[in-house]
Amino acid sequence: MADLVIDNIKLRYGSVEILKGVSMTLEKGQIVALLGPSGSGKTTLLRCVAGLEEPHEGRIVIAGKTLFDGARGINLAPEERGLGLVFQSYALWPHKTVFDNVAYPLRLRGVSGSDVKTRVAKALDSIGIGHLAARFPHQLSGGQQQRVALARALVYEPPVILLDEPLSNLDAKLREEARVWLRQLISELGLSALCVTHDQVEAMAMADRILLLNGGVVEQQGTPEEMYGRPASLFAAEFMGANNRLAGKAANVTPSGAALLLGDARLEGLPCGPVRDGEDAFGVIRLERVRVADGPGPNRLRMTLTAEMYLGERYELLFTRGDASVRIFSPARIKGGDHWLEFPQDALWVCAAA
Amino acid sequence: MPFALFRAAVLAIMASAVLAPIGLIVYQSFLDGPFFQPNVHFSLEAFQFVLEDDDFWEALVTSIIVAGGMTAIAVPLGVVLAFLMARTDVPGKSFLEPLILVPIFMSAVVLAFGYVVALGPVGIFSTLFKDVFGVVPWSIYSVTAITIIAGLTHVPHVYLYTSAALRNLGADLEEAARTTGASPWRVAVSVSLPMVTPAVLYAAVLIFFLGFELFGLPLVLGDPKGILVLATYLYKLTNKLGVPSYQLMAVVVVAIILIAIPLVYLQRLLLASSQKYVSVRGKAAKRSPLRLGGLRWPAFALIVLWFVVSVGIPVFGIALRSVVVTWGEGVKLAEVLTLAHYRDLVDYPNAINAIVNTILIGTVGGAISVGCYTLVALAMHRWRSGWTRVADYLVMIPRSMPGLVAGLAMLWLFLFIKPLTPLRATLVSVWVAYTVVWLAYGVRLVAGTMLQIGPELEEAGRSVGATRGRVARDVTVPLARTGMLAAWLLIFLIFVREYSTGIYLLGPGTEVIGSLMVSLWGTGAIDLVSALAVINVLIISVGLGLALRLGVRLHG
Repeated sequence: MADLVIDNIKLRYGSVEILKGVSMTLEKGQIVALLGPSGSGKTTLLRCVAGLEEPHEGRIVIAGKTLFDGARGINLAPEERGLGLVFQSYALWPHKTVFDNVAYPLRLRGVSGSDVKTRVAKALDSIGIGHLAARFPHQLSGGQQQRVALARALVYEPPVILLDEPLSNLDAKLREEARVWLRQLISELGLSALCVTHDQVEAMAMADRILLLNGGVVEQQGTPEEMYGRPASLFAAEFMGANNRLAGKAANVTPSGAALLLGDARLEGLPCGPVRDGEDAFGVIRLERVRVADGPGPNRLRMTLTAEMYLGERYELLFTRGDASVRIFSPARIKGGDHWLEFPQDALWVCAAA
Repeated sequence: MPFALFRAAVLAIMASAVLAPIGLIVYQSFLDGPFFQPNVHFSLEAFQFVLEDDDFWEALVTSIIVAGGMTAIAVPLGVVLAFLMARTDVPGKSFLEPLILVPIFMSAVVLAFGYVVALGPVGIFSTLFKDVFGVVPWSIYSVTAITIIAGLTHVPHVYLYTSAALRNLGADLEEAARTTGASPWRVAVSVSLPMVTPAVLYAAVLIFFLGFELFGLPLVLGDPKGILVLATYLYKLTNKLGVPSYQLMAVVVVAIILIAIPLVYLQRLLLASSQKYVSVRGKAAKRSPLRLGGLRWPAFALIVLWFVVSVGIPVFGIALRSVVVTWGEGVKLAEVLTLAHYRDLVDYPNAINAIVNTILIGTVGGAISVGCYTLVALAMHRWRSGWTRVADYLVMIPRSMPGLVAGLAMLWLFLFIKPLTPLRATLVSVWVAYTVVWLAYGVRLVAGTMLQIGPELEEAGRSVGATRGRVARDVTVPLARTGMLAAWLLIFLIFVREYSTGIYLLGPGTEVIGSLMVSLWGTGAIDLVSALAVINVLIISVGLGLALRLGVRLHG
């Protein structure tokens, strides 16, 4: 059964439409990532679910309980929704200790004093910060604050937990650790989570499903593999991963194939989104899919090596051919001059140049 | 209680506290006699009388001259002070900074009395000057003197807004001008000043507006020569016809409010536009102050001179006067020294009451007022609704009533609403008047503190299950506590300083130092007045010292 159903949510500030009809479902035990660039409406959607923003149309249902229904005039206050929300800034109350921060939701629910103690202790222990209960938030590190914020959102066992950019305030190293830890914790506790992020790597690592938002509409949704391996539009193709973009014209478009004409050269690929013969088009291919070939052949271009960068575990090489430039990863340095680059057909998407 | 109900209740109570007095005044202005008399009728007689009274027009013109003149004095001086303090290496900044704000917290009547005893025809400094030069080349009882003194004592207002704007200006904006080749002075004139113009403009309108409200200075310095401004004209009207001419006073009040409303509205517009500039803020890098070089000490002297003239001389004058039997030409200080005036205060029950009441209204009253302002601020806090505009305007309305007028309105209200009448002769009436007069200031103080609380701290409370009311109690108020304490101190200072609001409410049981001084001055009891003035200054100094000690910012 779906834990959370969001149906055709629309929201505007004044005359600016932020959400233009977003729908999605969250199955029990799943993590769904709301991914998108800034201004795409992902945080607004999360805040709509939390009850902190009021849409003007649509429906939000959690475990059979209607939280919002524009048509029937239902809009439960945030405190009546019983969800867990972890803020980007963690929003720990600076005047309360860690214990009091986490105990507050229980006290609001009339839990008796001794139960509060045991439940808070259990929540803090389960995320490894039991020894910090007496501290104030400003005495904690960023990672510890994040754990407290999570404990506060989990302690009353909400059906769905909402995470707003949960890792963005941590430094790079800590972020990767926290990602693993968070993913593990959510699956261990069997939680359903909705998580906002602008980082596609983070989304793919953490989520069972990704909802890619762009300009207030859902651009594409699916599993991380689907999103990365089979994008449905130029936007989706370019938002996920590191890409090369080749400008040309589309030709021989069929449902299962499309060609990209680059002057006198021709590359076979897959159509991505609606694209027509003769139309200006972009060929999009992930950096890691382009490879150096030993000689001419189909789907190969002769290009000149113009720059190389050492990235530690590999090299990034830049090739040019006229106006076109292509970046590739290579395990080793290669000699300068001209090389043949192969663009595998199943990795090259031909998208209409919007 | 649901939060919506709380909001509605706060809005309703505030609306009645603000609109009832003003409504009563407008109603009274269209009657042909005091509203409590039998057989009063609607009539335009009162308007006709006032509009045909030459004194009214003369007072209006004088008000405009004084307001304009003091603006012309206060604005340039305030801007120069702000620039010196915010941008240059003028010596002794940390010591000068709080000093500059002191005039804001000095009672205008205390300063006025001080000027009379210091620089009046037989004043302490005048006689000294005469001993040396043979003549006193100035007259304290003149429009010029009123304008200059008002201008000098209002410099801090301009200073506050300008220096805040200067400090908000990113250093990078000025550094950018320096790197393109502008000299420091060129930068000041062509970059910094234009950027703070909206703030200066706002301050100018504020000063002009305060000029219309002037009461203490013109009463003390203008009255002896028959110089009237609008507020003193209103005050004199009390006994003009021998009978209480409430309808005439109401007309004058209506006139004052009609002048004030556009000025208050203009201030709002300018404030909004000056805040627009604030967002043009660069990185808050540490900037090195401009080197004044040889001008350092002259600049320091300028600031000190201004302070000595606007606070030092009058306060010294009144303090000296409070410990001498008499003063005049040929009097030797050692022969006239006495503490008798302070001893006399003890035998004068009104004075003791006034001192006790003033402290009470400052501490207890101030605390309750801050409580009221907090309720209003809470009700409006992060409320997304058209009603906030209504509330905004409601809060502003008392701003357009000078204290004297608000006190009068409150007196009438307590007479008009029978159940309230028994409270009229108690301190409650004075407290209500003070609280309403300072509504806009107090609410802004508290609301400003609340706005500094990150919205997500409150949203976190909602999302874990707390109602709006619970969040207000458990998150907003505890986090705003320091700000509310600071607000209490500032309100204390302002309530102790007050003199005009309590004048019409003055009676047995409602004496406060400010209004009692005005009343005693009218009877010529200068010995008592000077002793009371010194006590007033002392109470304020204690409050100021405490505020500085606790690091309270002296401006909301």
